Amino acid sequence: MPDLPDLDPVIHGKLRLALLSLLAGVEEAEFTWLREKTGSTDGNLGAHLLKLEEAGYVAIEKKFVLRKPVTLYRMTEQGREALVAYVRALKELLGAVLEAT
Amino acid sequence: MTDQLERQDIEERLEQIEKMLLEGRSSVQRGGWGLVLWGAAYLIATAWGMLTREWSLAWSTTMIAAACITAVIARAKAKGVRSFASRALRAIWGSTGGALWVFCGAISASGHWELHSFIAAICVLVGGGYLATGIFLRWHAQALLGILWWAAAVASCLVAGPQQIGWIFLVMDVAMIGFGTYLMILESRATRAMRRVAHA
Repeated sequence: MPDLPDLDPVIHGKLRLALLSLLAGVEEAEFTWLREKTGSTDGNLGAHLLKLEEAGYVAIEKKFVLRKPVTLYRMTEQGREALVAYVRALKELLGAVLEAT
Repeated sequence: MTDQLERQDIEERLEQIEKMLLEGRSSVQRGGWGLVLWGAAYLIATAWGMLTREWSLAWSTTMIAAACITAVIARAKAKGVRSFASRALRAIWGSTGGALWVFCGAISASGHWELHSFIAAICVLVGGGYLATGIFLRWHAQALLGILWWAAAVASCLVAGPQQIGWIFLVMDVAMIGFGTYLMILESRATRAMRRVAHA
């Protein structure tokens, strides 16, 4: 069974993987939408989004809509490339596992 | 055993990515509620018209109310996310809705009103919207609903009077409500499955 060293640790967390995959399917999303889709708490979601932002996988834009603060999240090109590489690595691992069994 | 677990983990992750990607894409496309709402609106307008013979009052009142409710719900549903699909669907239904209002307004204002051709034109326009949506989203059932609307357009040209046209509309209303309810059940299941995956 091969190890998992090539898997990006930033994406490997299940909630972060879910967030990045969700953002891959849209142009941009608000914090509240991501919270609704993942069923996560504010604190947990904020912490994981921060990690994705620090890795450069997610870009954040803060603005006011009708005087209310809105935080928009968008997947960066770097994030898209990382997700593609992660999926490719997973598929390679799966192939290796299937071959071994 | 370890091999089996790791294989399972990899497969679960791939499944999670696929589900979330689809969710991101499809969350703005969910239209089950719209079909139920408009199916119910047509049903109310048809029943009202058949009972009172006040077709203009019944249809104009119900359609304006349904359009207002649609605008409010669609705005609330689309809140928080923007995508290519949401813009495409707004374009399709905005154009279809606009075409319907222009057509109905022009016909009403001109007085050149003939029941069969009026109903046929409405069915063709609505059917076009459903067909375009079905093709764009690759939902065969919705595309089929569009073709059913076109079949209703042909049928409404062939039948004798308002009573028969009313029956055609009743069949379409039931089809829309049935299909919309089915879609809403699927959407609800998909949402529950996605939340499970995110926290697995």
